[in-house]
Amino acid sequence: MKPLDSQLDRLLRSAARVAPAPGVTELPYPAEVRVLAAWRRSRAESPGWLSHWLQAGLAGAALVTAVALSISWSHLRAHAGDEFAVANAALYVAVAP
Amino acid sequence: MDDSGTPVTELVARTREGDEAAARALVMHLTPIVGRIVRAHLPRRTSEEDLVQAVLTKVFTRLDQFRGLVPLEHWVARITVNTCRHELARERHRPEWRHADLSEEQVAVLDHLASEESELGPEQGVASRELTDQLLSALSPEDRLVISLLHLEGRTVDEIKKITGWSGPLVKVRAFRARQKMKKHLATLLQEPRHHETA
Repeated sequence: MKPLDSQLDRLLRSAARVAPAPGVTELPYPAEVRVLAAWRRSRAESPGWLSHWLQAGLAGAALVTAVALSISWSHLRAHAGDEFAVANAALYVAVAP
Repeated sequence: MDDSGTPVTELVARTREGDEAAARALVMHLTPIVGRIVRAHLPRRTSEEDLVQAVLTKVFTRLDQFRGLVPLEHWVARITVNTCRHELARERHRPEWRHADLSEEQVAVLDHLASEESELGPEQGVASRELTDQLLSALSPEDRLVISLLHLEGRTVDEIKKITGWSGPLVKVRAFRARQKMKKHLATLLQEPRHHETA
């Protein structure tokens, strides 16, 4: 190991042996009040029920769209040879006495 | 479990339902956890209490995002570490420590490192911690964080991955680079002429 590595390791090991002070263990009352006020405000502003309704609505709309598309697709495939039907109908109406 | 013996998961559930008493109990339970992490990663110009309050505010306003996949304490630790990291990032000034800025005890630690092969004595612990903090303050928030977690708190790479959200290789690369920078600063301090000797 290079000397500088060893020097840094010894410094870090010595520093690690010193237990850091515990820090803030109890929040002062005004700070606690501010935290709880922010929590209440976020709950009041949270559109929880609205987002659930929106999610349910979107899921329902997506389902209806998928069903409608599948029905239309099968219908179109079943009448694949009728592409001249409209033109024929228009012709008959025009030339019919 | 909090001091009253109520499981933390129950406190979280009740807090989500709007129970004030549960929210207060949760604040009391989380404050020492957040306080300890903030103390270890505190930016210089930020008040400790202000930072703890900022972290707890984040925790409580995001409580709906807690899925319960990890213990609440881990989730809170991650928010705390990230908040400290962002605060540190706002401190653009990274001081370059000079020999003249060091106390006599810190100079004695440097002398011991330069002249002896042995470990530093227990009486030099506080000075070596201060010296380490000064070396750390010259690093970027990420470098400082990884060295603190790895070397001062004795966390494993796996634990650091969970706390920071970084990948294993990223943790190792950051630790290596941070050590290189610390070594450079330490070498500068070790090579600088001693002011108290030249005076």
